[in-house]
Amino acid sequence: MASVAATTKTTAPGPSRARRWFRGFRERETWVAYLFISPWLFGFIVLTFGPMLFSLYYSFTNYGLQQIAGLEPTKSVGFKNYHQLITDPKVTASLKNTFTYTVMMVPGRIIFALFLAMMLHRIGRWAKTSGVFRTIFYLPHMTPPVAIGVMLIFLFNGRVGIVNKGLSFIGIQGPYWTTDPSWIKPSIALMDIWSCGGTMVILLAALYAVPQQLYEAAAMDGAPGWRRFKDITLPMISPALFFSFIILTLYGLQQFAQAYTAYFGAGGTQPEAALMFSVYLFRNAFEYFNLGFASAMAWLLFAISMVVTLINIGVSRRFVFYQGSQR
Amino acid sequence: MEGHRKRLVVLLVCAAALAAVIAGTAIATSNVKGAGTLNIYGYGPGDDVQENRATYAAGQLQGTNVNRPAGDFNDQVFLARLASGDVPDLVRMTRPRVAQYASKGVLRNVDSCVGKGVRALYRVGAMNAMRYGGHTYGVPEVTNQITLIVNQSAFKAAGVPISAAQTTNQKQLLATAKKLTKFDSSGNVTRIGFDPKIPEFFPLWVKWYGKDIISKNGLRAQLNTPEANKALTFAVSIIKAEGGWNKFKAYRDTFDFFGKGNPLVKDQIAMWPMESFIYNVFSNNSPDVDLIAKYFTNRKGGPITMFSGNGWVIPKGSKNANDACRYMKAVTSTPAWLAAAKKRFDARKAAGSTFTGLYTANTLADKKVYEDIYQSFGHPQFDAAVRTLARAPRYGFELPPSPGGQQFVQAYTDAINRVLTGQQAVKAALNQAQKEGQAAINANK
Repeated sequence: MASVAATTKTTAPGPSRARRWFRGFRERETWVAYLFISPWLFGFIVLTFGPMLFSLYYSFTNYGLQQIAGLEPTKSVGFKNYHQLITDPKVTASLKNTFTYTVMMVPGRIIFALFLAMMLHRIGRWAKTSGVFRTIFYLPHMTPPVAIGVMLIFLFNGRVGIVNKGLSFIGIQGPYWTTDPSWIKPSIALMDIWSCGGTMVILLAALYAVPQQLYEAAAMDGAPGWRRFKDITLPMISPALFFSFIILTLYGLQQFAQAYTAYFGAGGTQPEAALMFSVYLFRNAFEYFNLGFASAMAWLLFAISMVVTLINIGVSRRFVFYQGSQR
Repeated sequence: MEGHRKRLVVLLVCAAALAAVIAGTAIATSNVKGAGTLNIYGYGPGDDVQENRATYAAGQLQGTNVNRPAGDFNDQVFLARLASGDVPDLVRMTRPRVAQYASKGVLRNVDSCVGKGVRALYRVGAMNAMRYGGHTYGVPEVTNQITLIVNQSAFKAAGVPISAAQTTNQKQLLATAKKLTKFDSSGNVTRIGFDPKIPEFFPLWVKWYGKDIISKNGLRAQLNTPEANKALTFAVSIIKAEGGWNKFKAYRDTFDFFGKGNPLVKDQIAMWPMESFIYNVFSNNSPDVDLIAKYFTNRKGGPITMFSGNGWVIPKGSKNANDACRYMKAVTSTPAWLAAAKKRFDARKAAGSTFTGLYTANTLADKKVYEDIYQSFGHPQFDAAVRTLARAPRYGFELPPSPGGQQFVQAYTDAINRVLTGQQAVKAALNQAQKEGQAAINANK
């Protein structure tokens, strides 16, 4: 082994990565490949990366109504907008709301989706009812977030809402979900958990990919159901769980539509408990016209999302098992 | 390889064709906006009154092509249009936004087009909301005056005389609200006695004391005055007496104001202040409801009402400001309102339905609609309501225009929500609102 390493070290370095990339363009296939991905590249550069750069620039300026209308030039304000992120109490409050909601929604949605996926898995892929239940469980995922926001107010009404009616059947007096500040975020999280169809499909696919021999071997060894779930199912579907965790965390940090529609749209009561970070960002941009500050808020959210994702990736090295991986 | 090349060429030709179609469409669209065209934003196709007024106004601009794309005003769309240089010639927006946009210099002042004589045609309170910094920025459209709607059946059932339906004596009002509120055996509200409609109508409650929540020039927040404190304390005390915010709001959220099973029909509420448009809704859906319209009165017994509604403005960059000004005056003119009212009256009469008048920011139009067009439909309670509504605007006020705009409104809305949910005491909440409201004004003036 040592001699192989020594050989590797003494081998002359190959062409750099950049040079290899450029060399690829000598091949016709490279051009064709780029042609095929060009619509996505164009969309990404024009609709995502470009606006990101612009927003980064605007976050250091006084960009607002006069600048939009071309009445005054855009001026640099240095780090003023970023300083305001620290001094504006609503930024802190909305971040707190967003984190609280995300912490409730992400595990809740994954656990519920996994529960549904395991039930479907147990029914079996080819059972007649399997497709029906898959469709039923997936339907809420197809409901537009705006519609979910509107439904939230009715379903979680403390007086006549179906949620409290259901709770009363089992002897529990439900809270005033939509008016009590302590229950507003759980109600939004619960609506998101309800629409877990997308996560369920991902986890169901992962469950189908777990080799049956592993369960058979465990059963022969006398491993009980819980051990099989803990030591076979969870490790084998951990990449799908991790993917769902990352995607849902980012989704949670960007929560906007449900909260805005339910509480900040026409006739909404606008409780501070429902003020998510993206809602406050939107209001600053398009209701208060502080677009420079809103851009700084967007970059703060981006930075938080990056940090959270990096931490997740770091932590995942200990918990996520990739088949075929050397780790 | 030859086949690959052919496919590539076909792909490129398709892309070029698509680009040509998109470019062609863009050019065709931009051609609509040439000279002799008035591009209006925020006044898309609407109900019969809106359409008939639009027809009248367009008829006053012979030779001008009036372009009214669908949709109401939306800040985001308007900003995008300003940013892209696609500035509309004329815009209809809610009045609290006018000062917000005017203070930033986005609107064109229309002093030369809307002079003193023209301004005198409109309700003073509503017209004031169209002015900022000594200049006029447009004309108001409607007033949506607030009156007290009294559910007579509820009063009778509770044995409360109709004379108790008043807002002058707050102590008595609180007692009346308690008497009219009903609870079931579980302690849930089954009828709200009186809904003070806060945070929306908070300025009206402060006006009860003869004060405003903002200075006349719109530059000084007055949210933590003793009067504002008393007004909020009282309004919150009513809700507390009716079971508290959670029960009150959860029950109110079940109301179907716009359907046949409205809260009057279902006896869900006994009395509340409300904008004028609701009488039209109630008369259509439930013409036999036993309602009475009363003035909202101040501490001295004098009627007061708060205006709200849209206004017409011309943005800077309008390419057809002359036609824009002619149109906004025409669409809010007496003949436009009369034409729309007459057509609505005829249509409703033919359908055997009801007509409860139109309540505009044009003083003469209101008078003429009431005197020349309105006729009883055989529902005396609505006739009486219309009489009250027709007189109410003379007691009207509107929040002074402020550059703080939405942010200022948000400051007191948040404060009242904090109090209602028990998160903060009245004084602390309004002190915080004062700071936030003033900061919003300072940042935008």
